[in-house]
Amino acid sequence: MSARTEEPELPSNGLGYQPRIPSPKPLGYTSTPGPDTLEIRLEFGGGLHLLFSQQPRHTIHVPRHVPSSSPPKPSDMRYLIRWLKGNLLSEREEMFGEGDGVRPGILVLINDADWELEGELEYELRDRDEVVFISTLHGG
Amino acid sequence: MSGPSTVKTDAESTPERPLSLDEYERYGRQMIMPGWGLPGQLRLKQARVAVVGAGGLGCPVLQYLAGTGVGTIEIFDHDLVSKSNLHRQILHTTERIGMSKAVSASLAMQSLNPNVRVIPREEAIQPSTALARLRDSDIIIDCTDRPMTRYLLNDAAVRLGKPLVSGAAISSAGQWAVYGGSAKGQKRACYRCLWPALLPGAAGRCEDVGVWGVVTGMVGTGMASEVIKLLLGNEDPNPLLHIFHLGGVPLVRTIKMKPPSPKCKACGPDATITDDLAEADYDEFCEAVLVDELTGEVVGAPGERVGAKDFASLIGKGDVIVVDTRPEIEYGIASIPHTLNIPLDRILSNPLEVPTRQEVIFLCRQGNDSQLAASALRAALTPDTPVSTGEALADGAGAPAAAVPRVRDVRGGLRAWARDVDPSFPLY
Ligand SMILES: [Zn+2]
Repeated sequence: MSARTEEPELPSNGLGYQPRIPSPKPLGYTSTPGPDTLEIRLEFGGGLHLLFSQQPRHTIHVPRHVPSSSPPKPSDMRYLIRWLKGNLLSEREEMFGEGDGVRPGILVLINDADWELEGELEYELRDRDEVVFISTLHGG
Repeated sequence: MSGPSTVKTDAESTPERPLSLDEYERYGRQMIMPGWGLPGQLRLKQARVAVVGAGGLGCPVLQYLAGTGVGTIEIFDHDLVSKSNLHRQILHTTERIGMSKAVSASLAMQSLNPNVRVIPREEAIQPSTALARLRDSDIIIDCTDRPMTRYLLNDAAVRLGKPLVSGAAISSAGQWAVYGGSAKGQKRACYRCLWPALLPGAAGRCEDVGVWGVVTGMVGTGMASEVIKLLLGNEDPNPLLHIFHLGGVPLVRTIKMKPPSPKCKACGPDATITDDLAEADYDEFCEAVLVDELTGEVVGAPGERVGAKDFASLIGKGDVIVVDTRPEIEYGIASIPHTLNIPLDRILSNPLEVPTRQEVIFLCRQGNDSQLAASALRAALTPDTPVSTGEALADGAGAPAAAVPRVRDVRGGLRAWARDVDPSFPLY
């Protein structure tokens, strides 16, 4: 079995988007793993990748605690969404976020479970969590 | 053929032998599996399902339901078979182009398995007819491609208390799940619980965005297996949503669905949707563009659009620039000379990137995207923008037409071009 980093050799790359030449650097954040960061794997489906530099998958490192919170508050989904808007979102913010959360019509999964089962915005992130954002599809 | 000659060989079944000999032989490979057996096969035979849509998802669903021996299969589809369907709608044939999809699919199914009863209905499910048409079915299967019908079928399934197997596929991605009804006594979330609102711009259709035939095939096959599991009484105890992505690792991601939402308009305690579905509001799920009923073309304000024949006389003129808004990959398939390719998403994110002359004309495949591009550029060029305002005011009353470029788009796009101007232009 190949690792998940491998992309198939198809003209359209099989993912429904055109790869930009060359593969763009995700905008405005430095991916620095360290003892004070959490590694979070992100995936955007159902067309949402268009809002994130046209990349369906990202691996990011976010602070383990919400910066300048005292006492130190563990990073949660609320912080992750704020972080995404500030660091990773490359297109119109109103297409993704609404208030502290995401727009209705976007399903959020934390480790393959609907985030409503995990506490939604209050869910505390853990190292190597996988968070997936998808919107519904209609074609047939 | 191995039995003694005294054994009945006709198709008649008896209480002791509830299937015909043909059926025992035909279904043997599935009946011998644990959890299936003769009782399972009889459950399939007694079942009645409604499949809405005999297209990319409907074809694999119908094919496997017929093959597996679901007793009565009703097909709703008002559309006709066209050539551009055939790469994915694999029950239809080249000979049956122009035939009703419901009838074409039923022919294929009857030749696959004459033991099942297939009822083709050449009609679309409407808010006013949904409950009456779907009442007799055990399961409702949504193989449609429009958001409005998806929500309508969900609401009908909720009102009738029947499970809905709903799937969708576009480009290289798909998803499917069982919604509504209950699993082992637990109510399942309905489609609206999970997808309470439509994301603007998310309503992509296969004819605009494209789709892999194998992707509708895999999603449809997944849907058919959910239907069979439900009929056998072997459904997943915890409702699951399957998300499929060609090129994804893993290929199919299966997630636990949340329980029904207390806020749901269809199935929640304060639901506002009643049996009177004709009164329910589905407008929010319709496409935003106005389409002419007769021509199927988008309606625009007077003077904002140009017909293909008039457009032909404008190409190549020095003061006219023609911008083709299709994706690069489509422009590479076929294009008109003297046109400039700037894909729609680039125009929308920065309309002023379009080089303007006295006149700008947008062109696309069907005349929808070009209209979006034209209105984006028009908005960006409004007299408020410093450059054009200054010139327009300085030059006085007669000048604004020259200062602000005229922006139009081609009605019917390249389809109209191929029909009215150049029949040798390859339509794809
Ligand atoms: Zn619901």
